[in-house]
Amino acid sequence: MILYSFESNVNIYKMKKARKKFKFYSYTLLISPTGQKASNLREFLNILEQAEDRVIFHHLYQSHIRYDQKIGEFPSDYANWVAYELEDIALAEKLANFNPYDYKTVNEARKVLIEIIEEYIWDLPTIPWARPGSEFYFSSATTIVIPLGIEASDLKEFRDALDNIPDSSLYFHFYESRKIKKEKKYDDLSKWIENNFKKNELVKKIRGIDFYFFSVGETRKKLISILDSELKKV
Amino acid sequence: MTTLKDYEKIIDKKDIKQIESLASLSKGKKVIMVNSTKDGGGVSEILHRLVPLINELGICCEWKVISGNNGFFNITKNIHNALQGKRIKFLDEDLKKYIEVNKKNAESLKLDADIVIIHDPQPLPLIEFYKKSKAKWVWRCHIDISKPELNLWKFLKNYLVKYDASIFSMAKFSQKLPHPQYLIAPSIDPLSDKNRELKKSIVNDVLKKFNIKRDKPIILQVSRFDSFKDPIGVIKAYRLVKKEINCRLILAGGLAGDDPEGETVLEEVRKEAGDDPDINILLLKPKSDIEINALQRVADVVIQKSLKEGFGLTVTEAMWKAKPVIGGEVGGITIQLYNHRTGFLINSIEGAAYRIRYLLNRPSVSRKIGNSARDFVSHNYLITGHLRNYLALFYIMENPDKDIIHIR
Repeated sequence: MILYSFESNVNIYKMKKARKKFKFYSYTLLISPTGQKASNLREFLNILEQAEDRVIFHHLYQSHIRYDQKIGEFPSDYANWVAYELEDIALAEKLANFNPYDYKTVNEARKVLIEIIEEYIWDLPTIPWARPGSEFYFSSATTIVIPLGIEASDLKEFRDALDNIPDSSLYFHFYESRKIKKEKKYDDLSKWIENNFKKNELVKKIRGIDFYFFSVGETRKKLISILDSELKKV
Repeated sequence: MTTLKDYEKIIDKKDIKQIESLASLSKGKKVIMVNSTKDGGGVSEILHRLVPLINELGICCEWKVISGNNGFFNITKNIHNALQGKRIKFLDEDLKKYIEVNKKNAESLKLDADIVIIHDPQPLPLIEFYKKSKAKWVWRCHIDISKPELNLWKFLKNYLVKYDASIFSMAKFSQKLPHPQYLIAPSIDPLSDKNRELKKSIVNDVLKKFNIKRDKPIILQVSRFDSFKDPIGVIKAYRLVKKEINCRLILAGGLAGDDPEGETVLEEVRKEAGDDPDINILLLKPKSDIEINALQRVADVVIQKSLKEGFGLTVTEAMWKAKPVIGGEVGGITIQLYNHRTGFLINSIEGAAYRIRYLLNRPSVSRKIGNSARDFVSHNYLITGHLRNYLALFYIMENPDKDIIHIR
């Protein structure tokens, strides 16, 4: 017990401090239904073409915050609706493989999404319909991002913070932050490590996480495991 | 009294932290909630728990109730049913009375707040009788208004358009309105008498009180005696199951203060049950929370065979107790029960009977579904999440035109 404590202190002593602390933010999202709904794939496509960016953004990106395999195995609202309500598994598979983070803007992602569905519809003998009550209801969201009161000045504090931030906060820093500014390609977490520590391998590992296919909870476990391995080296 | 800190036993400390951060944005504001009953039904249950928590966080929150006689509540019950799709023709004099009672209430209710939240249709016209002020008025609709009776909807819309925002429990309940709409799911309180863990001795006392034996599997429906909850359909499903499995049915519920239709339905249910000794019809008094908790804990399968439903909090309560639940494929039940994962959705008496047999014959599947259901509720439908959404709403109402509010 005493030995462990001694080792732990040495680690803390050796830990390199960042030039700028990492400030974690709390992220709260309130969903706003638009009142629009699609009963079949054709209507769905028409609304996708006309909807505001914030509506597309909500269903393509923000919906990941509630991605839970208990209620749907695919990582987007669109793929789950097609799979469970239209019962068109082939299209659901195509949509599940579509990663919206591959595109710089919401509009680019929208165009590719529309192309996938248009091509698919082209060969269909009939348009799939949802039963009444199971239509796709379009929504957007308003988000409030405020300081959570948790900061990290070194990798140990950073790793510990990952145990203490809500899922929504991790979603914001690891998922949505990639899309807030157009020039941003990477998540907040790996960017902070890159800017403050010479840890190229660590940065590479974090950026290698296949985040779109994991729920936020699973991503948290991956991140913690990567950081724990790194801290053992110190 | 329960405090926010008490929830650390149930939810993650990190989620409490998020709630405190959000509350800090609206400290010092005043919010007034208005509904039509202090006792009975899901809305008053939620407000009993939510209002003290909002106050604890430094936001002044008052809860006011409109008053009216039986005649008024008969009309509002019809309005409630028509909004849920029942074809009812309203007499002009009834609608006039509905407005007059609201006007009378407006004379005595002082609604001087930054945000006024009006729950459900009973007090909806109140807004007409207050001078335009800085206060933001929000209509919080708890019922399924996806297909309201058209003439009534047109009439109510005249009042609704005056509001600054509306809140619905599900996207499918939303309507085309000229103001922002938000989604806030209702919730259960894991620390309330209705949902907290109970000692075995308390559960046994409840069973003794109602003279219920545990000699065979128990099927339970807890709900008000209301035709939309289809208690007659539940008895018919039980009879189909009974041909194959010797089981017991408990129908337990109360009569809400704002629902004069309840006694008629209860009489019909008693008639349908006849003298079957394995059907227990329990008319619960208001605040029978521990009794409901105990009954849900001893049930082998819980059913909520609603034909229309706002959200279906009795489903949530049973899921929280890790019970396998079978629910009608309507309203908010559809976003709680996912077939084979968190429960089963059914569309007929036969479907209900089939799923009851499916679960009673497979105890390990029932356990797995029950555990998954509890986990699902803890992530989505606890009062702490509900509180977080209200806190977000309070701040968003002050900044209605922004997509992202980023405070650094």
